[in-house]
Amino acid sequence: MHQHSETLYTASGPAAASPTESDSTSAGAATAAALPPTLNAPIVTPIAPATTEAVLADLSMPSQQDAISGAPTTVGAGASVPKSEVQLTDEQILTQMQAIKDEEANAHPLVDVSVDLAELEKEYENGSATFRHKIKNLSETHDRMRRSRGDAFAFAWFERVMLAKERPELHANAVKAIEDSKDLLLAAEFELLAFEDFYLVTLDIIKSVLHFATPDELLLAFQNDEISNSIVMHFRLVASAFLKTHQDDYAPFLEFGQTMDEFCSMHVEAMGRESEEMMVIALTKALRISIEVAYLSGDTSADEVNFLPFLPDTEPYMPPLVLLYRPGHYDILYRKSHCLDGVV
Amino acid sequence: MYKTMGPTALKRLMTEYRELTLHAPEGITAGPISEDNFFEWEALIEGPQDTPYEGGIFPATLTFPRDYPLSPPTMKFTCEMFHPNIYQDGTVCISILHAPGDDPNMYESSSERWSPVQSVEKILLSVLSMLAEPNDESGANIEACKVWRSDRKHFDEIVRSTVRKTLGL
Repeated sequence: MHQHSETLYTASGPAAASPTESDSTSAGAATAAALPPTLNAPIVTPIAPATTEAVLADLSMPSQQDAISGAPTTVGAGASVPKSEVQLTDEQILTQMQAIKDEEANAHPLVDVSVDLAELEKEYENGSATFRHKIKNLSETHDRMRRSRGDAFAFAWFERVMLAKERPELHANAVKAIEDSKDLLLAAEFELLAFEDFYLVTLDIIKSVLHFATPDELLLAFQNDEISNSIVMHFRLVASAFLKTHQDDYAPFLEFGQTMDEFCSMHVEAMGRESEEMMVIALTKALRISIEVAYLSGDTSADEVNFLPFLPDTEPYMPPLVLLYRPGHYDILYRKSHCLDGVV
Repeated sequence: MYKTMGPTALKRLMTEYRELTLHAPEGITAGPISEDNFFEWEALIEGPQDTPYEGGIFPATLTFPRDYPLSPPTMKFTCEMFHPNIYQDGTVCISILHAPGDDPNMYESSSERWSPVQSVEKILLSVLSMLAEPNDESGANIEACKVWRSDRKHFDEIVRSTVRKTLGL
């Protein structure tokens, strides 16, 4: 099972983060092998006109359903496919998109076991020098990673709390932040009926997180769809509630004349939708957690992976969680200076 | 879509049913067809006043997926309905029954979509306003769209005749 998904990861990995021509040769072939050919080629052209998504893709915050790791690459590649060859209705395209997403979703666990960062290097063995260089640099400060689709933030946070048994205030702060989110959700005029089930699942997990003996036990909880979806949904609603209650600060950044309510309903609240980094900002501030996102891109002008900090308004009480962004999804990175005892 | 989410869905549906029983909005009744299966509901919708649907009581079924409320239910009228946004087989086609990204009718980006913050009540209220104000931009019944656009009087007549049929007159 794991062996199987490892192989798929390796195949789709370079495709996910290599928008350049040189990379897509090997990656494209790998992706083609992984997907039925009919699903692979025709899908390409029609995605491009979906203006909003295409524009936002770069800054996207994926959720588990959207983790088609190849998506942005495919959009780019689509330009070269003559339109006349593709005769699909919009509905067919959507059905195929869903099929690909489902396939992807079923192939990978929601959150995976942590692995040595060398695994990331392996993904790019045949990739461009830029990627290999950046990962080499990354490995000087980070030693492990955990692949995930969608739940990276919650898992990274709860795992940190769980492992920091000598710092009980981390747990207290986390429980408090989750409890406080209920008031935020009510302030944003969400109905209790609509969010309570999700909220209670998250609260239950964070309250009991110290009882998990190892990250693997926590991992089991996160690999349960019922639990994982609830936490993802809860966090999405929290992000939405934060943006709605801070419209003055964030509405000016919306594009296409969207209102904050429209933006939240289309991109933040709905499961499986990508949304931009505004969602990461909202989460860090609403839950008082700092995050650093490492952007691994094919940008050749830099030798280093670009880190972007997202800070809460309050004084951070623990080092930032580190997430690795590649188009389509976030993985968790572990910084060397953190002693994460017990991470296997 | 998100695999099985039975317990969450069941809990949520029971809560919604209780709420709807206690505070049913005007013109709407809804609940599980059988207590043994909370995933199949029947709804009765009263035709809104000052519309050709006025006076009618329209039965429909709501079918919930196992991962409700992550995914929306489907809704289908079980009586004859002539309406631009209702397929001839009775299936209701409005934006709130589709999640963003699932967009067979290319709804306007501002239209209300499905997300877990919606509910059965909100769906049924949307259906009520859909009856009052058809949206001929995303048509499901092309014939109804055409008549609604070109000959409102004729449209009203057809609808009234279906209303009479529904009432068994």
